[in-house]
Amino acid sequence: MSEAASVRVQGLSRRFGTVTALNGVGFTAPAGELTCLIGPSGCGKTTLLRLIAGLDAPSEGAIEIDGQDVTRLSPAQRGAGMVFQSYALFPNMTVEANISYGMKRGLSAREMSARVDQLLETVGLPGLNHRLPNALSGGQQQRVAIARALAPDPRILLLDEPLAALDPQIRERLRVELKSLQHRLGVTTIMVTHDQEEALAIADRIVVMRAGRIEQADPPETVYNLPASAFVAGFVGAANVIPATVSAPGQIQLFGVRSLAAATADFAIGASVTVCVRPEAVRLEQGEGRGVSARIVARQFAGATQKLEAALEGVARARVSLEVPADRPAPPIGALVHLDFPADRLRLFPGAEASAVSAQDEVAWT
Amino acid sequence: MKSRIGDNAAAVVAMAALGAFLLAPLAALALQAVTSDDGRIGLAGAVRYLTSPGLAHSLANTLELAVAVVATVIPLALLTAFALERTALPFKGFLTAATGVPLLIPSLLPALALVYLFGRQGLLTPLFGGQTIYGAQGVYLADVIATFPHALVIIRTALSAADGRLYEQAALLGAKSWRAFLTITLPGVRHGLVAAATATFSLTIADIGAPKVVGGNFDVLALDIFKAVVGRQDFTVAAAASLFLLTPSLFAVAAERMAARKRAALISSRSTPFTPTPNRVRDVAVGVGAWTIALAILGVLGVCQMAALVSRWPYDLSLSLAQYDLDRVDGGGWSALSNSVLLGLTTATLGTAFAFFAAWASERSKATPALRQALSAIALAPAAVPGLALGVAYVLVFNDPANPLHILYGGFGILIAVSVTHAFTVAYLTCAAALKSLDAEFEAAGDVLGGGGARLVARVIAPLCAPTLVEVFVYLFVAATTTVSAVVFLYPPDVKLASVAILNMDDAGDIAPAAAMGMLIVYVNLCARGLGLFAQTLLKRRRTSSADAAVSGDPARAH
Ligand SMILES: Nc1ncnc2c1ncn2[C@@H]1O[C@H](COP(=O)(O)OP(=O)(O)O)[C@@H](O)[C@H]1O
Ligand SMILES: [Mg+2]
Repeated sequence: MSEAASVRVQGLSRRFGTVTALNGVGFTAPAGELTCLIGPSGCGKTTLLRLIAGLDAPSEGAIEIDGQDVTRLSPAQRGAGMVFQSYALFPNMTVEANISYGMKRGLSAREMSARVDQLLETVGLPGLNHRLPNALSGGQQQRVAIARALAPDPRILLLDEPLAALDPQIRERLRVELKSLQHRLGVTTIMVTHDQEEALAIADRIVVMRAGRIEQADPPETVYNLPASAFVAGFVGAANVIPATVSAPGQIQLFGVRSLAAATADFAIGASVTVCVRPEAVRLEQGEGRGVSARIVARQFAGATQKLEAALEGVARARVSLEVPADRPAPPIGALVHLDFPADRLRLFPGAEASAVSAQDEVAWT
Repeated sequence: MKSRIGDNAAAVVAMAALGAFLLAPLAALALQAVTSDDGRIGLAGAVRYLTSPGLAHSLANTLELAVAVVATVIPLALLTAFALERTALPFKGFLTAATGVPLLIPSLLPALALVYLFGRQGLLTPLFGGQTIYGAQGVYLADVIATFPHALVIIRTALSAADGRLYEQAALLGAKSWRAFLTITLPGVRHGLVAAATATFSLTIADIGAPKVVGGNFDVLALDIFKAVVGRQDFTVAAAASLFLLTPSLFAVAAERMAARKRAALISSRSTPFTPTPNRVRDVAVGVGAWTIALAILGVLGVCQMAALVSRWPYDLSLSLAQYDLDRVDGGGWSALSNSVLLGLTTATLGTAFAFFAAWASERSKATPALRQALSAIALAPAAVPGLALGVAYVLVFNDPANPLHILYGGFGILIAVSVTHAFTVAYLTCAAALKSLDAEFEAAGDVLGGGGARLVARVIAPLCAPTLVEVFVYLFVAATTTVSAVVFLYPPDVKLASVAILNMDDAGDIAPAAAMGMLIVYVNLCARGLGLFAQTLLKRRRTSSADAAVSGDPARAH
């Protein structure tokens, strides 16, 4: 395996006619780490990956691999291996021929064949050398695609939604395998996914993209616990994204009516803000108590937890989702409860982000 | 990027070839139509033709004939296609083969069969009180037989693309099969019907064989052109008449392609294949019709074969191989047949290579989108040019010593060029469809893995298209051995061709040898078809239908 190399992208833009697919993107994928690019469909993930691979040329900006500017190099010169969304295995070639396709010229047949065996061993498919891709399951094809990408001994590995085509159960198993393979090989890996849960599960770093820009690039824990924007909070993990205003120092008005304590030091009095709070952070106080009164309107059993949905009393269409451990008795539908929003678990962002709320709608209420 | 420059060059080369062998000749044709006898530009020649008393007559005849043929062929082809695609009839393989045979025969052969059946000494002529077939009715019948399989292929394709879910839905809603036919089947193939009618119309107006053999005094545009070139060397009139042939085809092809594009957008990727369920009444009714058509076609072939095998029709019906002593009569003899086979092989080899190259450049290369679109538009043009018009245009362009390609003229080269060009569009579209169905990420994978586009084409793209290339090869071979109209003005004196020999033998009254020659072409083409199918089976068996799986296993749909 080549020495692991870092990837640095600076001011990268790509325009297709009037469509700006990427708009001044910059981030670093540290050597040997697994970086996940996530974001909604059409936000430019594939475009970014293709630019890094050299399959497409940027309108502006530069790409460095291992400190070397590769922006003008051809794909083969960059030392990048890539696994495609469709795998793009060559169906007329056996597994062995597919894997050998990208190996360096000048290797003897014996050396090639030994290397193929070794790669198949690495991806956990020993002995399948002479199968045709069609005779493999989706998961096996995906692993052959990884072996083929690794065959030229790449400095970096690029994966475009490598698990998207698989059944959910296989997907969860394979992502663990993928992570351990990456860790074992220590190859710098950039993986595109639109599945935030997948990214949280295996990434060393997550790059959250939105409409051709980067919203946040941090380790998963930071992205989850300290989202840089309401959009990130809504996209990564479930979150309640609620419009509010700062009513007094240390006080905000939820939905413009309910007063709550919050850290408002960064905001002026009267400023509109967006409040994000994870469902598991909302505390349920049964009966009379502190906090905001609400009525339970939906309940879902989710194994280890119960997911509840509450409508705030007296505020039209104001819903909050929360999670309680399944071993605690949950209130029935229709029950009047009090919700407590701990000040240290509220994240405030400037402005009332309309699209953040819609992103949250898709994710948080499921 | 480097690869982009190479790919742009490829697209430009393909366009330049089409320019030299199609657009330049067409331009010359248009120019000739407005050139008068003394070489000056003017409308004198065209006016002379337009005002000649014969023209109105030929135009009316041509139009009447084409409309009648279309009106007959389309319902028959729809019936047969329905029988083959939508019923649970037995022996579909036989029906398919029998109704498709006319694709393999020279268009003159049905006309010859009609002469044998209904000519002056025809087998069945006494039944009609001595009334012979010569004239409009003969041309009509011969063209119906000759164009039928072309219409059938198109309508079958349209019918086979049916979405099974629609029929299941209709059945759930209680629709009877007749109602399902009217509300689902017909609207679903409307585009196919239009395309088939268009093709039939174009083929009919451009056919020279039937009018020559059984036309009698029935003048059509194609005959006008033939007489102008062969009889009087009057190229101004020939060019003007060719433009008359060309114009409706041009509109028809343009309209057809526009409809095809619109339709492509409508086909849902989720559709499920349709499996016919037995329906006694429907199957019997449709089956009787389809079998009648199939047997009629085989009958026509049988008559030709018989005619070629009896000593002297109709006086001495004892069997003999005398007619196969082809060298005894004028027309080129056995060497004409070997020339035709040679032309078929060279046309098929060069044509397949060129069609695949052009289709690759327009469908899969990294050439600029504008170039690729222009190429795919020009590639459709040959379909709009009737063979006869192409032949006239070739004479005009390649006979000119100033043309650097003049060396082709008077040799085998010009015959290959015209045959490839004449059949190019179908070959191109077939290749393009196969290329389009391959995974869109192959090129990216090839680029990342190294070795460049050429290596990917050689090792992946072309092998995956191999069955299609075989199909295109056979198609081009058959097209080259059966066409009369494209080559009739171009064959040099020392290179006789079998398809043209039929025409000349018939002209000289040697009808039996003409039938023998026609049947030889049929057998050669049947062999070609058979070998092609065999090769395709071998190729497909070697890797179990890889291209299909590459597409259906494509998860790129997710995002
Ligand atoms: N070759 C292209 N031509 C035109 N537009 C493109 C092309 N590739 C991508 N785009 C556009 O760029 C945007 C980002 O696309 P993509 O990178 O594929 O998104 P993602 O992979 O995040 O779903 C989309 O709006 C898409 O339509
Ligand atoms: Mg994508």
